[in-house]
Amino acid sequence: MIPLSPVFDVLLGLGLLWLAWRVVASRGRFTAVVLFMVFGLVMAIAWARLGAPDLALAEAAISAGITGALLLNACKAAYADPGHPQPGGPATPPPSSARRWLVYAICGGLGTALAATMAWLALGRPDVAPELRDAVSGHAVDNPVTVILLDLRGYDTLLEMAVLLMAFLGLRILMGHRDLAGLHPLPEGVPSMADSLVAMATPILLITALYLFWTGTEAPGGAFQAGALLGALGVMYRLTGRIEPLDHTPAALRLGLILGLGVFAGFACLSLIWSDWPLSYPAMATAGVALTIELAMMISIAVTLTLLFSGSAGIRLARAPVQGP
Amino acid sequence: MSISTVLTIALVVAGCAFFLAGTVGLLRFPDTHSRLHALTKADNLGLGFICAGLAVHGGSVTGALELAFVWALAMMAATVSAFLIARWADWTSDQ
Repeated sequence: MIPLSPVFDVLLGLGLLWLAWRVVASRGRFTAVVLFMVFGLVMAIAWARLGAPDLALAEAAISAGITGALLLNACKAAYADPGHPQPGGPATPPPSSARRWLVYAICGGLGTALAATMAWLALGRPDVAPELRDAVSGHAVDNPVTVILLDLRGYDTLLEMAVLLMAFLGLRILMGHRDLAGLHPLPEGVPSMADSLVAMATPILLITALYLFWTGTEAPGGAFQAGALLGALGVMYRLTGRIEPLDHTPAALRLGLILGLGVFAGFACLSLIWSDWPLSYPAMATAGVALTIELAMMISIAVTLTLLFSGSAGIRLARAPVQGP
Repeated sequence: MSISTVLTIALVVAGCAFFLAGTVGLLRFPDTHSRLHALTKADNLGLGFICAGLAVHGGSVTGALELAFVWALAMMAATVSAFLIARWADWTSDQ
């Protein structure tokens, strides 16, 4: 009997390639975005098959979930914009065939070079360096991924938070004069069933997000996954009118936006008191400090993602919330 | 083969049959509503049978409860998204 798991893995890999191709090649924007979300889900399965549940969770929550929502948002905004070329309207002329082949050659060449490098690295992969293994196994935080993200490569994570804030500022500048309420108009008439789903999903999502945050120190999970889940909750609240847009950003939201980066950067400065290096953890309180930074990052990620989806400026809980079931 | 293995295989095969039928229906039915009909059968019954089969296979009460929870959540989401798609289909055909 043929062992089935390699067959499954090969199908998974081919499916990923095919989906990636379809994302680029499909004509409609909406189709491309939906295929991109499917790609994220299949990618999450691939990460799970590779034994990387942290990445699988992050891929499913961030790539398939919240990025998909943001891209659909962008589609909607583009269709609503009368100045934007509509599908079926006068299309831009397709590039000439010589130019197209040049692009194929460049992309194909780069892809092949990248794949060859990865294969070469994977084949000649050395074991984990003993210093690294000791550093991870002797750490006060048990989950190796969290150790790497917060301690050994803490600088990278600090800069990731900065990138998130930059992305938000970019959106804020671009979307400066938009009609925010018109971006997600509430459907009129029939109260949508989505509202009762949101009511039921709220406690489940909150518990799951806090669990992922709390368990991140010893098991798969952490600030990014938890923040993405809370951001998803914010997206659903915005779509069902439980959160309404504001034309200014309240101080609490501004604080939320910079909290993660601020706490992380503040810690980097403070750590110079007890160490010669920024971002080195105090020996006594490693777990506590790590948890504090994760909490601040989770809040910032959730607030940033919700505001990104909402189109920026501000949000507040609706005065008269929609009645649940 | 023990009874639980036979039961697991039977339940999972039944679930796969529903998924197959649902997928064929999704691809071949003519309009949105009948496609949704096919799709929800795969979601509800197919996933239900597969979860039941896995619960029998796992043999633990907590595992079975977790699988039941997964099934319930998937059904909640599927119900609402099917409703939203159907309403959207009605709305666009009225235009």
